[in-house]
Amino acid sequence: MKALAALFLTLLFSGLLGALWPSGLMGPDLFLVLALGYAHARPYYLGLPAAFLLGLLQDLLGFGLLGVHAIGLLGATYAFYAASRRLVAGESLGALFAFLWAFFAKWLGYFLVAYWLRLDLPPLAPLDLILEGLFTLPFALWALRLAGPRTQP
Amino acid sequence: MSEVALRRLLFLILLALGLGLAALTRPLAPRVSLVLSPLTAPLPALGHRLGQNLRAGLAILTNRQDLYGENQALRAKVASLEAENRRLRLEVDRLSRALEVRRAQAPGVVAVARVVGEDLSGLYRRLVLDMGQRDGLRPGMPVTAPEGLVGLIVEVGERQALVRTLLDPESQVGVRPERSLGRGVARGAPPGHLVAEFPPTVKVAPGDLLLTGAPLGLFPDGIPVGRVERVERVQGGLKQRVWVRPLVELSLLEEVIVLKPL
Repeated sequence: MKALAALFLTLLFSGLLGALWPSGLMGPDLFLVLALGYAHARPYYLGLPAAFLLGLLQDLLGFGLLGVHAIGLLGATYAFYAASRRLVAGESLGALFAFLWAFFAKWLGYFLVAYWLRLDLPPLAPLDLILEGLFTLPFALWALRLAGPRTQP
Repeated sequence: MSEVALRRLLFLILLALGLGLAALTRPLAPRVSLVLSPLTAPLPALGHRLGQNLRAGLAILTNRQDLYGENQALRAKVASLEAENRRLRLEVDRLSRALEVRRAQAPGVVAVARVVGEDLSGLYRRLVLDMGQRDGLRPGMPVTAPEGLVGLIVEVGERQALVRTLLDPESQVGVRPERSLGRGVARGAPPGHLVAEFPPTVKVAPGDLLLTGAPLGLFPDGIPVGRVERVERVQGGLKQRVWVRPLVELSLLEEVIVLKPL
């Protein structure tokens, strides 16, 4: 129920931010936030499929190729699990590094799909990626705190 | 199998599924999204609309602040232009009066002077003008207004001049009826009348307009002086005494026109 409410809120706020965010500036990725927040308090066999499905939903909402965001979020969640396993639970610096690891894995997933489909890569500036990460980070930390204690494998 | 290995396996399965899906649905990509959009789009669309409304609201607030500043600036400009307009209107009025006087009364306008003082002693009715010797004013110059005769300059200072008005008891003006022949002399009768004396043969009646005549040689001919209010026969019918209300309201005068002396 909580996860469903979080999904609805993410959808609503994604639309809201899309209208409010200055054009030409990368906004926060709320789907990544939701995927990480969901995965944080749940085992991998729930977190990974949920991230994949959430990514598919994001693909549908973006009217783009099916699978791009799905693989991006899947990679991010997998990386998040991998990083969290090596970090102390509840430590904010650990959460920060886990997020960064997940964020880079997400983009790696995008590039993997682009390579798989031989797509032309969009002209992304490194600054755009950094800004997206910076804008997403506070939401992610907030979501991780809201999600409660991490599940121990 | 360890938990890590299972996680990797699940990840690889989902990754393969994703890549396969991406490859298989590539030709159908936008169409599939469009078909499913009634299911997926409402919430983001609601958020988007909410965001647009918020943005529009903020824009309105910002614009209102801009408009407030612009409004203030325009108000200041309008006030400045109104003041200038008022000044120009007064100037036009003043020049129009001068022109009217020049056309109707005499060609010799010397100056248009402002009335800056008034003697209200009750005994005399005199006006003080803001121009004097430096501006070319001399004693003996007639003073008029668009409505009619005002009086005569009797004293001149450096920057001031004293006008003896029609109503002053020392004032004497040669007058004649507008529509009939005959001449008389009008003296001031404070506080609000002139008394003119005519021979009994002159046809004059209440309501007639009296103009300046030239016998005393002080005023140009034909300047309106006043309107007859009452006619009396005096000295056993040898004279007519005529009470005249001047056309000029002296207490309301702000500017007068000074003419060249005859």
